[in-house]
Amino acid sequence: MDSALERFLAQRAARLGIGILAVLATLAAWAPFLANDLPYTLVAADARGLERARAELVPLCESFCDAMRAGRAADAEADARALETRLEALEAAGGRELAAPVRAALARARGGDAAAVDALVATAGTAREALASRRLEAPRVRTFPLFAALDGLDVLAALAPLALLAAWLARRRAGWARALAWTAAPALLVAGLLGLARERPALAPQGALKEAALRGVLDIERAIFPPIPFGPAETNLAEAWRPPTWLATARLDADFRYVHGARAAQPSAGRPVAKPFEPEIDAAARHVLGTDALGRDVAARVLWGGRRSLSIATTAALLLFAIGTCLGAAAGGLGGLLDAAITRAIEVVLCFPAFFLVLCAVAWTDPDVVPVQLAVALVIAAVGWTTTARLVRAEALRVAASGQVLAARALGLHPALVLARHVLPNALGPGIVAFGFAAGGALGIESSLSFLGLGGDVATPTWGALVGAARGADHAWAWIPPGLCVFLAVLAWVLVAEAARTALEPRAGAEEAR
Amino acid sequence: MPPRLPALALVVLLLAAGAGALTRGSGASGPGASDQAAGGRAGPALPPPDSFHPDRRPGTDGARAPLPPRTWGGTLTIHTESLPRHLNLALASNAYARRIASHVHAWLQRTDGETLALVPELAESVTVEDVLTRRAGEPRELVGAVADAGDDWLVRTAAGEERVPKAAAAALLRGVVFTFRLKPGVAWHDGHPFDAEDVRFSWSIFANREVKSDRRWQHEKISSCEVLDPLTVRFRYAEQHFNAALFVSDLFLLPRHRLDPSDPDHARLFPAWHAARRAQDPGWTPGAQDVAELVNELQQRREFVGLGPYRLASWTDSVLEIERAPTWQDSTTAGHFDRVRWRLVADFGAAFRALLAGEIDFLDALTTEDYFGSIAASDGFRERFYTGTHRTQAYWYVGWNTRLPKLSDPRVRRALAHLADLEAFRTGYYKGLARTMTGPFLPSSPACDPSIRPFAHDLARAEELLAEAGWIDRDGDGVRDKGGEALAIELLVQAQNAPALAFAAQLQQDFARGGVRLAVVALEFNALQDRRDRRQFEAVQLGWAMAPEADPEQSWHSRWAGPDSSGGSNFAGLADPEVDRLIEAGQQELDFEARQRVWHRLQARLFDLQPYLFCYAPDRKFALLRSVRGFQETRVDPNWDLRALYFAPGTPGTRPAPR
Amino acid sequence: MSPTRWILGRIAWMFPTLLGITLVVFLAVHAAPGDPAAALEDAVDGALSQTEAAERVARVRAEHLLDASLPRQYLHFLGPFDLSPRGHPWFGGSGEERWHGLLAFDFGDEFGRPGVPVAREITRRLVVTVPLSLAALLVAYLVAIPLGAWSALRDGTRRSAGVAGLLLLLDAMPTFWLALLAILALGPTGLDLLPVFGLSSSAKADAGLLERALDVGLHAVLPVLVLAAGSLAWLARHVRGSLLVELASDYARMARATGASEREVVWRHALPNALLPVLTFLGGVLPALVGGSVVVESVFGIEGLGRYAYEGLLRRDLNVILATTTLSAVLTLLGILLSDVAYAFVDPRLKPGGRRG
Repeated sequence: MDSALERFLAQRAARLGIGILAVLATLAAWAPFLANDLPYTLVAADARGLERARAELVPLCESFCDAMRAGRAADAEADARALETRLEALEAAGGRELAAPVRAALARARGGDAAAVDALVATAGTAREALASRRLEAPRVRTFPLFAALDGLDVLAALAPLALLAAWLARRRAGWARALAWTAAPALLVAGLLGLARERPALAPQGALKEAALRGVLDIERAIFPPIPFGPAETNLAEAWRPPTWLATARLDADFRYVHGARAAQPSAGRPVAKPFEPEIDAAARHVLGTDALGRDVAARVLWGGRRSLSIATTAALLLFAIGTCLGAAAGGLGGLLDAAITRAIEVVLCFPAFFLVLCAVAWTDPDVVPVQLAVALVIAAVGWTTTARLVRAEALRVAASGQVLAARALGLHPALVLARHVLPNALGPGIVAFGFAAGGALGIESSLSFLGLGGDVATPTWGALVGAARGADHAWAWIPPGLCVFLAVLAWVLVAEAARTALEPRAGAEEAR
Repeated sequence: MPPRLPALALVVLLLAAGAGALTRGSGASGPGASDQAAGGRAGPALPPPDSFHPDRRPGTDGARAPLPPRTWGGTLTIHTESLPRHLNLALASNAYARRIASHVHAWLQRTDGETLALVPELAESVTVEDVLTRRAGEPRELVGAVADAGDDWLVRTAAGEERVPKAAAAALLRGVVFTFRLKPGVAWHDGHPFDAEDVRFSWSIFANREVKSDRRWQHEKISSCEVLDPLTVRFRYAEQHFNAALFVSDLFLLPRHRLDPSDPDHARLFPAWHAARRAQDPGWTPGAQDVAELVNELQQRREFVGLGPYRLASWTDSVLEIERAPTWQDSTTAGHFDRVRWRLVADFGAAFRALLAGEIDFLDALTTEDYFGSIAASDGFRERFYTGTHRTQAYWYVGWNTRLPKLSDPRVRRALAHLADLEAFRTGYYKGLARTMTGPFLPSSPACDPSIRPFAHDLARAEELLAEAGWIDRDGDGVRDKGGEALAIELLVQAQNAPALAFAAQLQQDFARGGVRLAVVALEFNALQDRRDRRQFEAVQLGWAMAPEADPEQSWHSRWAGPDSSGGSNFAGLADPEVDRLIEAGQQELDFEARQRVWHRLQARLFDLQPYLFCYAPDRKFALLRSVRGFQETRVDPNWDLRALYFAPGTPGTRPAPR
Repeated sequence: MSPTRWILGRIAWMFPTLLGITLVVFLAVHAAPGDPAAALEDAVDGALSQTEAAERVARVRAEHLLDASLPRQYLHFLGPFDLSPRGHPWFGGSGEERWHGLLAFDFGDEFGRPGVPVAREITRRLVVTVPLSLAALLVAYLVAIPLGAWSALRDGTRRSAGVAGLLLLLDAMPTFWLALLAILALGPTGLDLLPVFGLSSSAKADAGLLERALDVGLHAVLPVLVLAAGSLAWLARHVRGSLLVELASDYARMARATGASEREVVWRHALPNALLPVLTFLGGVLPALVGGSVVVESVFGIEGLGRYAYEGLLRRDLNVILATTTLSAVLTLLGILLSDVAYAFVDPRLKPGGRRG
């Protein structure tokens, strides 16, 4: 196996393919760090908590009192805790003496004092009135908004490329380093796949932090933003369909109408405003790849779009590989009735109008029951496993007739054991080649589906959906880059698969000749 | 224009991938729309004719060039995205069929495109009378104009005046008897004279259960129809309803001499048909079954014998052509073109290409992209065509399921309306070519009160309202909650509908700023409709196409707010006594002005309750050959008047006077 | 087993397979959420009131047997007897329409457009799709085989490597992206060389035959090339690959050793063997008539079969879906059969019966 791997890696095609995939996958996994509306670090006085406290003090007290009177202890407790965070915000901003009476009343009311419950709302009302006349300053603190918004799977996905790199570097080392790297890498890879394939609708208001800074509620002292300071779902309707900002056609005049090109005839979409820490409206680096129909940054969307595109295709190919290899090896290795049944099944599945089955499944899946991206992966796998199975079966048939397997049989080993020990590992080669082609094919199918508008989620689309939503010769900037990404990824998979075939072929050729 | 479809209420769901006003847009703050002082009794005035044409745009002194003198003659080719299979609107209604039938056929009365009033077309005059039922005495029923005279009802019947003490009256139904006096000398396209028997026959087919018709519900409300003399016919309704006049005027007239075998003329015209029947069964006599067969067969035919100023000239799979009918008497209403051709191009992109290739003179469905695209901006295009926008009869909305606890509080729904930045989407996405809805009536409808303003985009106010309603982010996860439940809403959107998906993505961001989580689920249309009809949704984005004055009952009355779709479409589940009261009051109110005042109150109430987030009525964008003049926007579908259009003088094939 | 018997066996197998596929598709369509009859007529299709809509739905349901039991519906779909109320008298129908279903090549009317038979519509679109696909196929084979062979024979040269690289790029190109790029470059916004929408301009509808043919030909250039691109690259790479293997094989060496000229080696031995796998590909082309062109048809605005199937799917038009999927399955089966037959007759080494052993 090792020599095959070396032969594989010795080829330029393999290295190129792996290189492209590595770059695309790393960009996808690191998209949150490359394009995000949140800064890595932020030193700022955040008055939003104070604003919230001012607005919600009285309603929270009312809600708390209602819950206490109705005996809904859990709700009352939730209200009380929320009240405390509001009071803490007040205290941190120097409003200790304003918060104190409310705190005291709250403590009494929590103790079950009915009179205190009745008085609480009035106390909060007094505090709110006092607040209106006092100027409070929120304290300056350091936070890490970008990292705080990530969850576990995001982090694992981001670590996966690093782990793979480590595994690669450690491949010649002996001992624990290599063992650790080789176990960590696949685990992280799987976790990363899971993390990326999730539907991640933009539930957080993207760009809200920058808007707060614009309104002056957030007084930023220092912030470090990612190179692309836009979230993938951050809309800015006043900048809809803006060409890449380094082009002359993206220039705006004083009335925010385009100066050059066909778009000069259009009415202005409004007054675009550059939020703090974004490049200026007319800066060349503002939207390097332009914007889409809602003024979202195309570069950010392409980076984030790769997460789902790549992971769905890879998941589908992995599933297909698993099904195809197992069934193929079983058919070829065990023979008999099982072989006949599986061969028949392959023929039947081959007759299925594959693309339509995928279309049906995707068009009619209820996203509440099965996430669309999983449905896509499952159906691609369900109709695509036959090629792998056929190849593996043929190889397994050959292996089963080889001396090694015959010897094992003669020794009286259980057929299943023979299959697992001797047939499967030897028949895996064609399966791996098929996997490469299948991954490319799956990406193609998935992109076509998304292109036709059957991809599912609105906020974080795939590459195909980006092309489909933006097609139109008048704004080519929005669909050329995502299409290019699909092209490169498919190309890389084909290169890898070809190289794998070449690496495995000499052996195959030699045996055939014998 | 035909009388606008009566439709009890609402009307069609804007279907379908890409189509509908959603994609092509409509509304009315486009270049031509104006908010000038109310003209006539029907709301804001329409723009002056031809206001889109470059020659008529105001110059530096603000003056418009005068319209060139009218000409007659020539052939106009109009794009259509669908051709009907037949023009028989008595059997099935179809907007495309209606657009064509309105020129090859005529009605007793039609809706005026500007004032929305019913004006006689085939009728010379119309008398509307009331029915007073007495507790005792003969005749039991008095038919005539009933006036209030203190303690008595004063009834002016044909026989004379009669006073009935109010205590002696059992029931008074107003506006339920319609007597039409037909114009003399009107003829069908085959030359056969048109008379009252034709009208009665057209009504009678709905009582024939063998006739397959979608429209039966509409005409079954008419309880009787009698022919008083060859040119006078009287209809009688069993109930009082404000749309009664519209419904009866919308009766689709059928040629009795061609469809009723018991008519002696039928036997004369179709001897072979009768002979065949007799050959089959010697004892055969014409019956309802034969009428039904003949009427149903009209669906299969690409021929049409009508009463309109044009008649059918040719009809293929892709082109339908009409030509002037010699039977039409009144040259002032006959239209200017000698021939009009509808060319089918189903795809809007292809239609634009066809326009460029000179195959179409009038394209009434430009996509926003093409309208603002580089081709439409080019000099070559501008030399040949002018472009403009007009409103349509459709709007779209996000409907809330108000049965859910989290959406049952009007304050929450109002807060959501404050969170949505409708103005930014209107200017950014629609480029201003859409009008923001302020209630369930289209901005062009007299029922719409223009003084009602959209909710302001106001984050602070929204947060205040939500906090007031008890929705506060207690657990600090960025989403408001109450009693342990998060304020998360699932919005169902039609997959494939680009504007809807874009709006959903924007709305998701807008709501998130107020701590409301909006999950967007794109569903194929049928699945979406199914979820809506089973009331298993939280929010759903859809559109309505409407008649100018649609009956609001089925969408908003609590009677139809039940847990399934049987009969009504109040899927928002709104049950408000005030709304119910206003709807019933409006339905009973026969006076136009008074009824509009009721609708205005209803609109205000509904808009305040926000059962829907009312979104936009987008504009339709059109491109028209520069030599075609007189483009006039109207208030009934298709929202422009074909018969007002004419070729500029000097165009080959035209003449300065009607023939 | 003789090849003929083997082929007959294959044909016999097709029927149960086809039955199974139709059953799966039928069940899948019925299991999908939503009432298929609820689809209303057209987008701007006039004012329909609730009552009208309900009446129409009820009528559609009755006409298309949607209220009947699933087995009855399935038998109705299979045919050849019409089981609807207006159907064959044997099954309680009125006898107005006796035949229906797959076996009668009558799939009923479209749901949304009563009076438009699906079978007629399919025929109408086959007339568009089949020539288009065949042209694409022809282009693909005519270019791929010489190109692949040439680049294999010149293996090792710079030019051959360049061609191989180009083929690889073309193979990896997503169809939809290629189509959009072609439109961008050659359409009205680019060089304005070729028409990019539809298959004919109706301005030419009244022109002479020659002019019309030229017009259609010009319209077809881009769709055909884009359709052909994928299979062309794949085929050429395949020809190249297998020819290289054949040229290096033992028997080719043997032939050379026995004094055969290089030309003889290539034309007599290597090329025929190398083309065998390419023949198998032919079988996969037939189903692509329906499925493969969805993207191309929707980008170029061609009213072909793929788009018809896709739109029927979106509208949930049961009759359209069942008809197109069945058609596609039949074509797939025929394609497989075709390649098997070709294999059986062309490959002297392959004794079809022997494959089992």
